[in-house]
Amino acid sequence: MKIKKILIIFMLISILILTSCSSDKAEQSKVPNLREKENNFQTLKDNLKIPADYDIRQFEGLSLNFIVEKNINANILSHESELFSEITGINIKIRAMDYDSLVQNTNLDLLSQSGEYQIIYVDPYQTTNRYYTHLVELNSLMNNPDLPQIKGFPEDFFEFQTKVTSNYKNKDKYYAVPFDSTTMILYYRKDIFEKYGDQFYQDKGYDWTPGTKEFTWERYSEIAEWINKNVPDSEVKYGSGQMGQEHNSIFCEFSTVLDSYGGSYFNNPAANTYGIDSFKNFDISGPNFIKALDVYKQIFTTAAPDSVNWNWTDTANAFRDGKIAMMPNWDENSTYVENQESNVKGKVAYSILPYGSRKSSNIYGGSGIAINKYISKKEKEAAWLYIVWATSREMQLKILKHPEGGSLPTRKSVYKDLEIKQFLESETEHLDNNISYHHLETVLKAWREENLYLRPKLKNFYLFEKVLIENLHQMIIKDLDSQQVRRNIENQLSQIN
Amino acid sequence: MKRVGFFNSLRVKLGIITIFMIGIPIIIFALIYSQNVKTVIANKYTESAVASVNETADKINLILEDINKFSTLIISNQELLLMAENHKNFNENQFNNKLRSFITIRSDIEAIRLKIEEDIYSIGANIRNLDSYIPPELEKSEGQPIWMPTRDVEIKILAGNFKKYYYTLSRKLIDYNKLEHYGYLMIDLDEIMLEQSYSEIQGEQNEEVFICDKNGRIISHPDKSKIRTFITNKPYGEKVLSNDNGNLEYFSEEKRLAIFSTINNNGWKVIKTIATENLYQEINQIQRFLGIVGFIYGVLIIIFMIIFSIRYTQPMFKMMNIIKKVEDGDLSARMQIKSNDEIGHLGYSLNNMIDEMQNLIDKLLKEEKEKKEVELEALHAQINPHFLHNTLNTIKWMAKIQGNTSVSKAITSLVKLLRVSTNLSKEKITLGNVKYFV
Repeated sequence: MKIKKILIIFMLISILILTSCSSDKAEQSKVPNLREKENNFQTLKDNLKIPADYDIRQFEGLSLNFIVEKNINANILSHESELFSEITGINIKIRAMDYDSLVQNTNLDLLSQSGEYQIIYVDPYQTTNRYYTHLVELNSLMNNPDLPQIKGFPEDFFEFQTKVTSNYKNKDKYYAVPFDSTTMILYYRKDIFEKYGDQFYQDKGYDWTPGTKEFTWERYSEIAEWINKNVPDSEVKYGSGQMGQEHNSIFCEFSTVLDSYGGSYFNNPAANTYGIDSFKNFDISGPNFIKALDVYKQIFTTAAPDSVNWNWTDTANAFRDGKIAMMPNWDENSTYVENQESNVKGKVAYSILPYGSRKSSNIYGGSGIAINKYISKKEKEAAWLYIVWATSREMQLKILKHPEGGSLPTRKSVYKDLEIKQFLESETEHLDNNISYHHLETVLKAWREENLYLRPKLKNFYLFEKVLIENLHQMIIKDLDSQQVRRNIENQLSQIN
Repeated sequence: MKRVGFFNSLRVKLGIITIFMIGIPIIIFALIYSQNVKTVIANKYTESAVASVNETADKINLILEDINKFSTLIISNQELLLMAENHKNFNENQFNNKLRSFITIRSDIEAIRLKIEEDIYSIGANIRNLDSYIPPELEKSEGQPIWMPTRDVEIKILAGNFKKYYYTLSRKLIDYNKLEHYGYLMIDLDEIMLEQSYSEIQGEQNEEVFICDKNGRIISHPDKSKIRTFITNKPYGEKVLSNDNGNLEYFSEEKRLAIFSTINNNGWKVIKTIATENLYQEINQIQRFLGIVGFIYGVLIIIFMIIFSIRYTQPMFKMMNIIKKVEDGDLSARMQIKSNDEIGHLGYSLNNMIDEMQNLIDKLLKEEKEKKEVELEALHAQINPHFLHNTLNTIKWMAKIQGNTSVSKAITSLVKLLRVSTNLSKEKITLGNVKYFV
């Protein structure tokens, strides 16, 4: 009996010791997590303008669908959103998809008023222009003292980006907060340009370095032709690649050429910033429009033959594979073009797009984050908290500095970051290793007023764009006369009106 | 022995203890149970019922959302949009073929209809009484799905006509790119589909589950005659229509509970009404069962306590009687020992005590008797010399009278010697006396 009692007591003591040890371990492992959480929470509070009595976990358990274009930004954001979810308890489901699917899904969701996507990555030219009445007018949230606020909005954001991305028609109404930017710039193979620079100079008698006023679209075509003939296919097959597919790409590319030669679609400057409803007053009658059509057609004669069927993704792939030596493309593709798997890693340089007779026009194409109008108040407020976080200076800086790279931030203050400043002032060569920064200087140059191009923002842009896309595509595949093409465009647009 | 007062009685005390320790706790437990526990459990039952209605609403929401998405698929079809834009260039057969390509991928849709200007294209069920009326709500819409109230339609199947109830999703056919409006799309669904989705929460009797729209018009009901009627005149109508979800008690011949939940997709309400007696049937049964068990338990406890008190106080009373007999001098009284517990031991002790007392008293009596006998003997011993002395004195005086002095002196000396002899036990004899007698 005594042995039995001793055994029972021994077992009880053992259980107690084991229990206390395991709970200690659990407690010990919890402590750093809690500290980390507290730190993260404090960092978030410091970085965002959050009211003192705001309960940051009031939306705990809520799930928000964020429909976004499948790009590097979305990839980075999906990683970073985990931290946001941890701090706030809001589950962010990032629904990344290709651009065309994004536009279709977003627009159908808004048209259906189903509220499936609470947070929307809105393209100002495809969604905000048509569905701005289906988006939450953010002023109501911005002016609510009980809610977090975006530090430095709108003054810390580039004015032209806010006009395009946030507003529609009315400068005082905001429908989105600029989240990312992308600008069409020139990608070129610096190895080819360095290697064959002298030979080209001897042949043609001018410096072919891109980015100068002498580097025009005509010369761009001439250089492409020269590369086609003089550079072995083993090094690069074609001098240039273009975006001739019947797609939004061709409209964007042609518009840069058009603007660089002083042409335009409208005489109303508001069309290119805040936007207008109707394209009734389009004007493509000037000689510059014909000039632009001719130059654009000329560019395709020397470009890779498949260019007529390429959009911006196809062109970027061709460049990355080492098939083409030059291409206009969105700067957001630079990290993809230059990453570890790329055939042209370390061989890429950037400049602003070639000049026309008037200027170099670099088309801007950024997007913003908006909130679906057809969701509950609670969801709207949670979505707003996410927007405040995603567009904060710290988050924008994080995206820029991310090893995977992304598009350039929409906040001015990010460029005042010491590291970025040092890079821009060429004081820190080691930062060249970060491929996110390679195109930085070029893009900032492209954003200068004299180099920037903003395309028209129209409510019924689709019809307008469709006419242009079809006719431009037909022009390059059938080598149509530019005068005839203009007449066709005019007629078709007039018919729609 | 004194008489014990009523409240000092052990049995009464035991009775009071029984009441306080068992009776009152049972009553308190019953009261607490009735007041609180039952409420808590009843609330849980209500919550469970509310949850089942919410789940049903979610389930129906998924069904409706699925139809919504399907309608979006149709209105985003570029080929259909192109046909609608140029509908004059396409004949009815071409439209029907196009619509057929949609209906064949689903088994839950009865008919798809398209109204473009005055032309109506329909595929699926052969609806006899097709209605071309476009309600203002749909006319004013901006492309979002509009759920129309259930209506009865006549379906022609072979040679016969059948009555069915259809609810319909309608929406404007708008090109989401051009934002141009070409006509109206209508998707008809059988009301039975809704009924099946809530049939799981439909109880067997005295329960009612149905769906109504935002205006209180019944969309789906197991009793088809109630479809299209309104709930606004019902006691719960106002609260149901002005709240998203919840429950309320009301009286309609009996106490009833209305539980409702809103379907997110279109604001329809799933409503379940149930008699509280039915809802709380199980808990009431449990309550009754516990009441009966509690009552039986209480009665048994009281009986047990009575038996217990009798069993345990009876020996005490017997002891009291024994003690009383002993008190009255009957030392022959003894306890009859039947148990081996403390009471039995007490009985043994009492018997032993009486035995001891008996022995002690017997002993005392015996000693007293012996003492008396000795005293008597002593008395006797004292009485005999006295008479002898008197006799000798008489003889002495007779001798003296007769003048026989020597005889008289001799007798006197004899008397003195006798006196001394009889007083030996009383006092010490001095040496002088001894010399004298000698």
